[in-house]
Amino acid sequence: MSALIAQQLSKSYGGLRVLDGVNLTAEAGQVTALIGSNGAGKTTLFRCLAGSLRPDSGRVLLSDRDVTRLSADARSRRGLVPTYQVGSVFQTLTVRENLLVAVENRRRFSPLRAFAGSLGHVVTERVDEVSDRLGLSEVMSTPAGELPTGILRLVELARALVTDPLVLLLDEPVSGLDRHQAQAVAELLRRLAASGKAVLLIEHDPKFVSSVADEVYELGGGTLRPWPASTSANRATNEHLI
Amino acid sequence: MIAIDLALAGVAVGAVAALAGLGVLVTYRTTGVFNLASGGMAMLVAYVFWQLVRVWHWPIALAAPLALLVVGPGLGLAAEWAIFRPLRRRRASTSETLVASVGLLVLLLGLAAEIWGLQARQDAPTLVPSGPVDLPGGATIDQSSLTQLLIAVVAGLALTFVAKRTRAGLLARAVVDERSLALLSGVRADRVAAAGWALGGGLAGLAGVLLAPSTQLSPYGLTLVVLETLAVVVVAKLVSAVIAVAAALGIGVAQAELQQIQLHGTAQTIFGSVQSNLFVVALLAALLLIPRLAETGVGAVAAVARRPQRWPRWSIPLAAAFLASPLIFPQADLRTAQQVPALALIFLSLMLLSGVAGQISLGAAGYGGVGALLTADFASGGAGFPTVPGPLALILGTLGAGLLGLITGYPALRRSGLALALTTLAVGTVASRFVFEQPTFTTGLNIRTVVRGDRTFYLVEVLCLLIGLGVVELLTHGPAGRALRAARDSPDGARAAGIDVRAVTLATFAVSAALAGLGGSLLVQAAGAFDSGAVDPLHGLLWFTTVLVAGADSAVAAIVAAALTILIDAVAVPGTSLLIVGLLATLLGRLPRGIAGLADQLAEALRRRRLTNPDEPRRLTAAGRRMLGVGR
Repeated sequence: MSALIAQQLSKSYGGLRVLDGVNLTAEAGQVTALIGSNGAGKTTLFRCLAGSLRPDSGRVLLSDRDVTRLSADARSRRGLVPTYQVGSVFQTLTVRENLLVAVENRRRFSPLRAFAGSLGHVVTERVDEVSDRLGLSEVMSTPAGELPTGILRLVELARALVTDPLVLLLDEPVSGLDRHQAQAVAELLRRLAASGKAVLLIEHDPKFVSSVADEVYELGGGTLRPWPASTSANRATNEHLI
Repeated sequence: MIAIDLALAGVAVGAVAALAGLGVLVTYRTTGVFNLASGGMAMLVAYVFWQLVRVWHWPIALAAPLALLVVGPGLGLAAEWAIFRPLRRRRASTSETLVASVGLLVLLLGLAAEIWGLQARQDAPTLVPSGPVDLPGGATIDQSSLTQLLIAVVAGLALTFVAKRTRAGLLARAVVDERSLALLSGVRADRVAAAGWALGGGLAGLAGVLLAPSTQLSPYGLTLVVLETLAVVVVAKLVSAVIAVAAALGIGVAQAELQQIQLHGTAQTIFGSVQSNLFVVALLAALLLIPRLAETGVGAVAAVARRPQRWPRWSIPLAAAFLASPLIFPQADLRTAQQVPALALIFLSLMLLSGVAGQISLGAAGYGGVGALLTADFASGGAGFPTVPGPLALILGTLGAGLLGLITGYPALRRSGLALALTTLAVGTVASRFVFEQPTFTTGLNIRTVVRGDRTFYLVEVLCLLIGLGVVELLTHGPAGRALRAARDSPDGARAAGIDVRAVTLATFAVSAALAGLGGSLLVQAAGAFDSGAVDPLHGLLWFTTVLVAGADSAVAAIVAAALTILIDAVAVPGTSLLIVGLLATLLGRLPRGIAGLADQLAEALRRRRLTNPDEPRRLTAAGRRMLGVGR
């Protein structure tokens, strides 16, 4: 059973067909990457998968369940969690609150729960565990708006991880990061895949992609095709490039 | 069947609406600021004209140029220089400039109330004398109507020509589209903006002077009439001067022609309301049908919201003593104090919506009025409602206002910034015109407090306020508060974190409207009568501005602001609180967190001074050094 499957996804803007019957599979335990030039439709595909954009036709399956008609938040609650290229961290919340929000909203919002909600220690433990893993312990009480871009990318990643997702969708996860931070993210993504998660990332940097991904697809002309340098062997040889 | 004489009368009304709309449009297209204060400018120029002609007996030939060519444009220039230029230079968002323009409106209302009082004047001088002019085909048109039509058409065509065919129009578009690039290209952006404001002020003034004789000259009345003509700017999607003029003339003619249709009974009452308030109906309809206006500027993200502040510990016993003190007041003062918890609830509702959720709502008066009317109807069995005990009526009124908030929250799901602000203003205006001002709903109401005895009623009010504070506290600091602030900071991020942004937004609107409804009910009960003027849309604007001036992120500030507003209104001449709030609102560009934020900064500076060891090097920021008055 594949973690995430896109079947015949199509999307047009006016007369421009950006996605033309895209088929894609992201397997659990693997890092799958999409590359493509600017304007190739990477972000459109990302948003169709995340649920923030409705495709004109086609289906999105999460663990064999059709989620095409579900909203972005409903998909997130079912384990398809995106992180965005343009920072979507909550600026007026502290780092800890950013992570707590994600854990607290694993179930649908209800007014009763909104008033009643109290936190159990399990939640706090999970938040602490993820923040330790990403090296965020020092800044947990700092409002996110006061942190530099590199740290914010990690906060966003931590916010996704704290929910223990089935599929992690990443839109250019290393943009704005320096070499060391990018390498750390690459290692983290490999470890996540090794722990059984499906990781699907969209990236324009071929060097980074080939260092981290098991499968790489290139998006162009509205369709996907396998990218030649997409093997695990290449990953090892290209790792020094990042 | 179109009646020519009615159509020609409608043209006159439409022509003035067109002028008012063009004033707003020209300022918007040259500066990116939607001037909600245009109604205030129109009203002030009309008052100056009245003062010159009626009080100082100047001839119109002298008074008109002074009012229209000096005072109107001068108001625009002063607003640009003092308020909007600093905001533009620090690239303030659409929301911030919108808030500043609401603040300016409140200031102009306060000025007029302070100088001329709040009463209406019926003797506004006419700019163009009346007299029939024969048209081909036997019809006649009033001379003043014809002049107004000519002015509006020429103004619309001239503005379109300037915008599309001249270098000045090109420069204006360049400045609004990308100010920094325009500056690099040598464009004097400040001059373009000043010209836009001067022209906007001049057109608003002209509209005010032309409107005053046919409506009534009063600070609230005339301002509101001009505000309603914003419909034509929305129909023009904030872009086309020609469409704005055409829409204004169209609505004006339609309004006049509808007078021919006569129905019976309730149908006529409803139809008559629609006919006489067609601009308001058009405003709401246009906003609902056009979800995306051609907004310009540096982003429509709500910028009023900050990190909510917790109550300082020392303030809790102080607040308790403060709220309990009216219980030992004499009867008359206690009656006045009864308005404080009620107004504080309305301010809390605005704090929740604006300060925490980051939504701009200018329609709080509508929710307050609906809560008050429903409570009165349930308590006295009016308008066909079943009679229920007072406390239950209060609960039902509150829930009714909450339901209205839930319904009107739907437009907020697809709107932000300017479109949302205008939509909430339109909802408040529709509620005022179609419900609060209609005798069907308001006559024969038996307004009495839900419990007997002034002190008992005050205690019930305080209890309601405490409940309101508890709700706001939960929605600000608990898991719900985090979800709310997350949805405000980044809707995409919130959805990624599993938050149902739609549900959160709707719930916030509903809770906020319920709090406003509860406050409105108590306010009307404290006053002992339902006064539609107390819940007109301008009060919504005033309350919104007061909350921002006090500090939209602080519940303490909301309560203190309510107390001060009531106190000032009780002891000073009418309009003083308006004037103070308006003056403080002009400083919001420099004090984004209002008075509460300033108090926090001062307290923080004092705390740091105590903690700073004189033997250690100081580690203060430049701002901190300035505040403490210490050197490097």
